[in-house]
Amino acid sequence: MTFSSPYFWLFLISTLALHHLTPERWRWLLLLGASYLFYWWQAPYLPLVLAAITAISYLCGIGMLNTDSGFRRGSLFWGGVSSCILLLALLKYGSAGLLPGTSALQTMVTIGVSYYTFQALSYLIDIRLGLLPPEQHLGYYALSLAFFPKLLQGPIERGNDLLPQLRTGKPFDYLAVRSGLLLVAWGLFQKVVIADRLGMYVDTVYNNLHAYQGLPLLVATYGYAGQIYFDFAGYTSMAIGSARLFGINLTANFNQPYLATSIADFWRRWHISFSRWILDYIFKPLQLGWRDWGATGTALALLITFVVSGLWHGASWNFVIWGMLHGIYMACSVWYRPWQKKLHNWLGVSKKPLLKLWQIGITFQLVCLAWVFFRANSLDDALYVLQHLWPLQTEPLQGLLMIKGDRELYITTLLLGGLMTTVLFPSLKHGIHTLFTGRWRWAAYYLLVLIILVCGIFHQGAFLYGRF
Amino acid sequence: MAASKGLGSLLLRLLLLSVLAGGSYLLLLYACLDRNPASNNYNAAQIDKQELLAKTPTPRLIVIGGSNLAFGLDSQRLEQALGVHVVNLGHQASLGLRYMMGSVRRLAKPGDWVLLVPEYEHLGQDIFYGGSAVIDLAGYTGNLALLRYNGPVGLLAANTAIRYYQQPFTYYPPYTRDSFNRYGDNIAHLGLPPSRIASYTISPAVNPAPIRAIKAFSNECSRRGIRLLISYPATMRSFYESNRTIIAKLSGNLQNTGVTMLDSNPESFVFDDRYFFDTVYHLTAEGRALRTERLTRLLQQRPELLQTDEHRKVGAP
Amino acid sequence: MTHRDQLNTIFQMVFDDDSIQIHEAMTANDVDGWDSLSHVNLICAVEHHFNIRFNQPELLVLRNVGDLLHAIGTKLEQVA
Repeated sequence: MTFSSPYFWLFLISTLALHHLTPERWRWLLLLGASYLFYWWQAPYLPLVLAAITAISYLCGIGMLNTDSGFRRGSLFWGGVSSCILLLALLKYGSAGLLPGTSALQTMVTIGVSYYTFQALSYLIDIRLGLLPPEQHLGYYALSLAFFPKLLQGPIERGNDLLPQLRTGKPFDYLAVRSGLLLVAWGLFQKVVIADRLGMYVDTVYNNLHAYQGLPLLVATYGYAGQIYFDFAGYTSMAIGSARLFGINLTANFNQPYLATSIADFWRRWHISFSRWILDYIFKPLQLGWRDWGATGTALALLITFVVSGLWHGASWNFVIWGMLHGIYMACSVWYRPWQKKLHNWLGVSKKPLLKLWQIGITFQLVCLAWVFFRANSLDDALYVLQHLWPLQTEPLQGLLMIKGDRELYITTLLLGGLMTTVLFPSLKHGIHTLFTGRWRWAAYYLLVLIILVCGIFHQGAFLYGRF
Repeated sequence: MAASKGLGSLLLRLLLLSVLAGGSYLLLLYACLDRNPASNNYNAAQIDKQELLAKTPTPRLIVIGGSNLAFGLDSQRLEQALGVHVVNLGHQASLGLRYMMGSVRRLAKPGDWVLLVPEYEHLGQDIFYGGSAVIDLAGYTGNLALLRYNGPVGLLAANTAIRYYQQPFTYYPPYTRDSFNRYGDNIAHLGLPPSRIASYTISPAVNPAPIRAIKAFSNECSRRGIRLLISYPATMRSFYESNRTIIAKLSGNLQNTGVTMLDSNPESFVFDDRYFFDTVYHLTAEGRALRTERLTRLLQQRPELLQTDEHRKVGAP
Repeated sequence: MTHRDQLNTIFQMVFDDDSIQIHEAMTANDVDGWDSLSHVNLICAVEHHFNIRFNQPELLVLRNVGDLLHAIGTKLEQVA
């Protein structure tokens, strides 16, 4: 039962109604129960994993508070952290069939585990650093990990952000609930109308690469860049919207990532909760630890951080190389950045809009180059793409674009054109927003739902980022 | 109290919105269905197959399943070897197992045999419920009752009917109605060269409902004197290898229900990649011959399977 | 010169900007260029100037200039 399933709506609305009818002091229990039920629906054994991670991190947290011995505190910390990491690695790599003797784990669904495990790790680390007091109430803590809007694909919340919200009740806010529902609908639109539509064309190429060369490979790669963004951003909108129904504000995960002017900027705009996590808990400690090595120390820290990011995404060489590429991009920029500023000044282009456009364009190409590895079904496939991009033959492109007929192509072009226009003309975006909040808003809601029903691509596809 | 009223009225309006939007959608869908019973669309071939079934006298061997059977069975050969009428209803995976079992439920008579050959996805995933193929069929036949075989996702997946309304489509063999022969076999691909096949991995998430439904179908068939046999689909070796574990899990689940399996090993119908035409389930002419041969042998080796209580009563072989 | 003034000079030097005036609540977002590399350059410059050495946990909890000033003060007292 993913977010794009019709059953999810039933579940969400029922939970909302029940939440409203439940006295405030027991609402956490309702949400916890609903979240575990939601998770059990994904696969019956998954709630056990969640409970295990919850128990380990909760008990270690409380233990660290209640002991005076520095040694005991340290052991609890390292014990908790390593058990969580081991469990995660066991499940991820075991279910991919990469660990000997774990055939029972193969074909296990592991959706969500990467996300809440990382959240539990951040909880333990923050306690250790004294940035966060351990949560005494097991119910609130368990809910902070299990909360169903963010359970399957994040955002990865920090204790300081989420726990206080779960503790204090919020009075019913009609506008918040309404805007939450609208956000959920918008997220669904992003996922099934845009992302899955782009996916049709991307899959045609990437699942049968050897039938294509030249321009179709390029178009499919750009298409994938769009697909993965709208898929994940769509999910995130649904997550944030769902949470808002219950008076909870989750952290934003995206900020127009393809408008980034550098790879570093990209990672401040893409999967923000994840990149902040690796920044705070992997990169910073490494970099500060190696600060005596200057730029080299920082570059090495960046490389390792992004390789870890690749590993988190999946147990295959494709993801590791994707991560490594980003690590290399970032490492190079450590040395390049000071020269870049001098170059721009010398050319007299600093602060010019043309420069910004150039930087956005180059950054997008670099990101797409890395996406080739992320999407390709194997390493051979990824290399095939890179080797056959040139020359940019256009002839097979028409076959690709017509794969679903010209009607579908018109719809796709119309949608993409519309989106581009709202990016280029923010006043248009504002106008559309007014449409959904003004006098005719219910007509606008009706149209939105109808467009989702008529133009959505439905075929039992799961969200892409649920694989991680 | 004011707050309750706020949420209550919002939910009510939401309900009205859903009904209105859902209703509009269903009306649009109804209006846009292709109602041409003479359509050359691949899915329309199911009409011919159902007619074939109605015309063929009992006792007959009714084979149901996906395009694995449509492309990969030589029914004439099987008929000659077994001495029994064969009707190949195998057509298209997205008709869903539910539709296939449901359509046979009505027309099969005591004394018939039903050979069910599901594709692996049918055993654990949503494709068990019908998709756009069932809705197309509802349009061609005018029989809207067929929609009960769909899951809600299937109804949504059919929105292609709205988007492609009146869009001229050229159908190419073998994906046309007239590619089928009088036994229900698809023969247009037999002379065509194979194309490169993209393998894929089956999702590990398993829905237990399909296998329960097969078990229920099996019980019903026993009660009615219809002999149900289940066999594994023909698949490509590379596909089988990369999905070995999930296939073992699904086939294990199936066997554990106690239904009558023609053979207990999915590997009996795994063939080398070169015997496949354009998907991991579609056989070439050579592969088709091999598969039919293997199927025939398996059936001939177990003559008791071809005996039902009805036959024993009248003393038929 | 107070610690604050000394730190201000270090900021101006590291970020190559004489107009910088630090305040307690100042964070990475406020100073142009206080990103991954500049942050570490700043710490190195601070350690070098005050002749102190921070350990890992002390560095990881620094959130703003106020925290940094406080950490410098504490460290100097420890050494003294």
